[in-house]
Amino acid sequence: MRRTSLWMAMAAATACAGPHARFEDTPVVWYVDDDDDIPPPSSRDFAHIQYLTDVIVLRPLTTALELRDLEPAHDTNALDEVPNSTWFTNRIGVRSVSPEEAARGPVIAGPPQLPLEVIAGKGGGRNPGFIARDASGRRFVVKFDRKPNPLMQTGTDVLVDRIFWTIGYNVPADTLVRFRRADLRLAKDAEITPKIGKPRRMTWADVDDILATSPRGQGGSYRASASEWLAGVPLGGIAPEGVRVDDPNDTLAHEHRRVLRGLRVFAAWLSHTDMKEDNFLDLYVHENGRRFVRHYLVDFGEALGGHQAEFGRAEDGWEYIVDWEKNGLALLALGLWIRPWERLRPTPWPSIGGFTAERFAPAKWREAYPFRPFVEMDPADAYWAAKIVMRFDRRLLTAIVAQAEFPAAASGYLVDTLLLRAHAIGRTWIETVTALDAFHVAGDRLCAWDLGIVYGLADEGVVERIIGKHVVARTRIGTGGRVCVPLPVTDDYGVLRLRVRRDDGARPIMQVHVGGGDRPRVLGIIRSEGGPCMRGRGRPRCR
Amino acid sequence: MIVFALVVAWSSLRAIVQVHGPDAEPTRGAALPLPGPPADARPSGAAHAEPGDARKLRTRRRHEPEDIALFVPRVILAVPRFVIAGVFTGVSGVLAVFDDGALARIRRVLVWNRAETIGWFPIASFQGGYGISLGARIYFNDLFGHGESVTIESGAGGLYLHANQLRFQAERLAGSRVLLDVRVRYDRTPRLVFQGLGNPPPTESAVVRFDPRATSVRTRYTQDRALAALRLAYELGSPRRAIRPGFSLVFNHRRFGRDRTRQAFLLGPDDREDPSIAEVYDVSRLPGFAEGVDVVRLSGNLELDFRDRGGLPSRGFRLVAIGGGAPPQARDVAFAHYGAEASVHLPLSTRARVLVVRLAFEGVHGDDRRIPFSELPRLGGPFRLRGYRLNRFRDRRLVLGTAEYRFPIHQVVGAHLFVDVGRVAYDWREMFDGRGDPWHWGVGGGFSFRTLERLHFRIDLGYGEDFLVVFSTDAMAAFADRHLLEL
Repeated sequence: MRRTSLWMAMAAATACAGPHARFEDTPVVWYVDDDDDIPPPSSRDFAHIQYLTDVIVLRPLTTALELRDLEPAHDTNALDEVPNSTWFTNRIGVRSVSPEEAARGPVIAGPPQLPLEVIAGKGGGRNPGFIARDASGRRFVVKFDRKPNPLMQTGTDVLVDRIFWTIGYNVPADTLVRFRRADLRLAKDAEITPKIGKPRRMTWADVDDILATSPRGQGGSYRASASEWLAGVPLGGIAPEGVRVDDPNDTLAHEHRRVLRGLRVFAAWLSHTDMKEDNFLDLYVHENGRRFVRHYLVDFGEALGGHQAEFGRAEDGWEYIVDWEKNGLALLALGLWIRPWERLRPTPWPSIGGFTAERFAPAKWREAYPFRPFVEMDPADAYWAAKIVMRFDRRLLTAIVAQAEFPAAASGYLVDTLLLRAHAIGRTWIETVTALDAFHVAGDRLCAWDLGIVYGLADEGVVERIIGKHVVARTRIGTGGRVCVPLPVTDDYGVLRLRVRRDDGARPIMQVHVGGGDRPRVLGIIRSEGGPCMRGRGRPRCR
Repeated sequence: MIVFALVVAWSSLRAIVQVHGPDAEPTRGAALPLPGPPADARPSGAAHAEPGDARKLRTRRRHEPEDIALFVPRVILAVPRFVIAGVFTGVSGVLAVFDDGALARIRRVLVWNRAETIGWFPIASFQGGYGISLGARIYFNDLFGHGESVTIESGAGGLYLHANQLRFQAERLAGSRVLLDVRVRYDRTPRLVFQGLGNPPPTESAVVRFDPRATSVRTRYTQDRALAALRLAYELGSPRRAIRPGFSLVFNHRRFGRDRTRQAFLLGPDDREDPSIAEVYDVSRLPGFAEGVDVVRLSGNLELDFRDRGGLPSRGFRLVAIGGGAPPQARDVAFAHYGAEASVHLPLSTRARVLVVRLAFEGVHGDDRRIPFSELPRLGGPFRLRGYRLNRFRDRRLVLGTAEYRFPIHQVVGAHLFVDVGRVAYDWREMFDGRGDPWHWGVGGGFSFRTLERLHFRIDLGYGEDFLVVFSTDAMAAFADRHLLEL
């Protein structure tokens, strides 16, 4: 939702008033205590129609009337990073992840071992499947592809699962499994809730109905994705706003959590448009003698164009499922406005569908169902996520995409497309802010890396140090992206206000707070000093 | 020159490389000394904090500047915001009942078998000048495994006091290329419009019992009608390049009378000021009015359907031609009847924007006294000349043209703008003699709710003589199969 420009201009005029915020002189926090022992919260019901009416009709109306400004995320540490918690575990963002580790992801015990014993119908969701127990006694949710798009949902489910794990989200262990009908058993007490009728005993006819929807491979085998049953009590999805009121550990409004706001960047990268409450899962787990809620992302089969293919929506990723703005403009334009997605064509591979980097505009990307944390995303959230995306190189993506077992040409196309989309994301959101990072003190200088140059998004730049409204020093950034500026001499506390300037203009000012004395150190970072998002040539405006 | 050429070549090469994205992928920051936690699980002694306190801000502004600037407008807008939220809280509470379990229960009520081929659903339509009709349709689909269906439909309100229909349809009877459509219908319409024959001028005269060709006064009459219709055709070619020769046999039993003074059911327009037909016109000059009409009509028909798809065609054409009539039969009825309708779909820029052009003509031949007034070609209504009331114009000849521009708004919603133009006349010479009676124009637009293969319903807003709205949940194609939907 756009912010009212006039009001923001007024706000910007007063932005410089008042003292700077100050950070405590303590070690940077990388762990959050949100895993205290709590009694079991109640399960959260999800009513599709009510939810969709709420997010499509009610919330856009009331949000527009709230005149909300961009509020910084509440779950960051002094370095404007996201610490580890029950929501997120830092991985590729803070360390190297080998291709082998990324390809393995959350999988510990491997794919299900045949034979599979069907114990229930899947229930919920549009895609056919069932719940099964493998030979080792582990339970899995088994899901299949649709015939028009063989390999798509199963492959996408596994590879996006790996990507989100590598990023740091909690995800189930999804793997591919192949079997024949002869490898299935049917439990005597298996139950199914059909579309018509009450829950009843499941029969082989039901199993065959499920299998009939799936394409078959060589020798009549079936390919499915198997999502290992997560240990814990499922409590339903994650509300896009507010908190879970009966979880004392959940104290930060979800729409102000960077892990959910920054998710928009990852979702745009992967075209994961199916963002709804029921694509998240809260689990009441028992770990290390404590019981608490851990928060998961689930159900990735409709990323990478899968949602577009399933619903036949060419506009998927460009417009909400009901997009008042775009549909209203289309009406007013009397059809004369040809929307960007109208000229896109599907790829030659049914397993990929329409996933492409052509015309990809990250700032204009939209999920299918308006998701409130995405609306609240600010440039600092986007920057945090974008630099994680940029950490995925070709080797890593090749290893991850290989898990999907697509045809070789499709896999190669997918890796190239993901890299191109990542580059677009970097240009959009890393270059929106002053992208100096990895600050460290070297003697009497403060050094950092310009991620714009590191990731090939820019060729050159100058770091300007600002006092008041004046540029007091300029330092050219090295060709590799490294730059050092003199530290202010101070006994106690100092604030460096820095910005990067390139040929196309200056980025917003960021603040680096440093402790003085005989042990200078970085105490904290404010990524964007304040005021509305900057707009400039080639840079997006904030949503 | 060589240096210049090299520079140009190098710049071009660089530009080409940049247009096609990064070919030399950067290191992705592998060498960056990134700050981060020492391990995934918290080691003892590691810094930690409560949620929301990880930032370790010692001081912060109590109020952000933008909060101060926006305080007053937020207070003002809080009123409508709370009103909207209050209203939607009630709506949301109702919708919360429709969870997946409730939808399944509703589905069990609407769909009666596991194969989902037997069930029912409500239907509704709205026609400007008449109001809302509500009803229900019971269906039995795929009776013999080739898409044959039986539907039983009943409704009331709006145009109808009640309307009932039993229909059997088979586009591929028993898997063959034979198309069969059998329909039996009974309806009572209490407030049909009669406004003269031809294009007579309106009058303020107090003279009553006019010759129907002398003046145009909007009057009302009732009709009880029983219809039995059969259409048999054979499909040549393929579904998107189909030629369907066939014939139809229609029996219409109509009895007419004075209009009712009020709608007996549901909503309806307040048209009580319209007089009864007998108060204004000499109904003895309307063949069939006094004694009723029992007409058997036999027609040969030819349909060419070369449209690319069903619900949302983007290219192609459709031609329907009929020829036949009512052979001499009881109640001294005999006439020939012919007509044709051609529609062309022209894609504009993309397949989603389509210009549809339709031309239709129709005529009856024979002694005026042997052609019931109810069997004359008619203009006016949702299918023929929008913006005019149903059957506004009647005469022995009819010409109608339409241009409709369709464009997409949403995946399942489209909009359209249209112009309808038409005229009736006694004969073809009068139709095109270029003098006297005007051509009648209707303009407007609307929305359609459809998929690629099926049109679910349309809303049309047309302005001609009146501003009229038509809405229907029936599968209402823009250019309907008029010879089976006669009223």
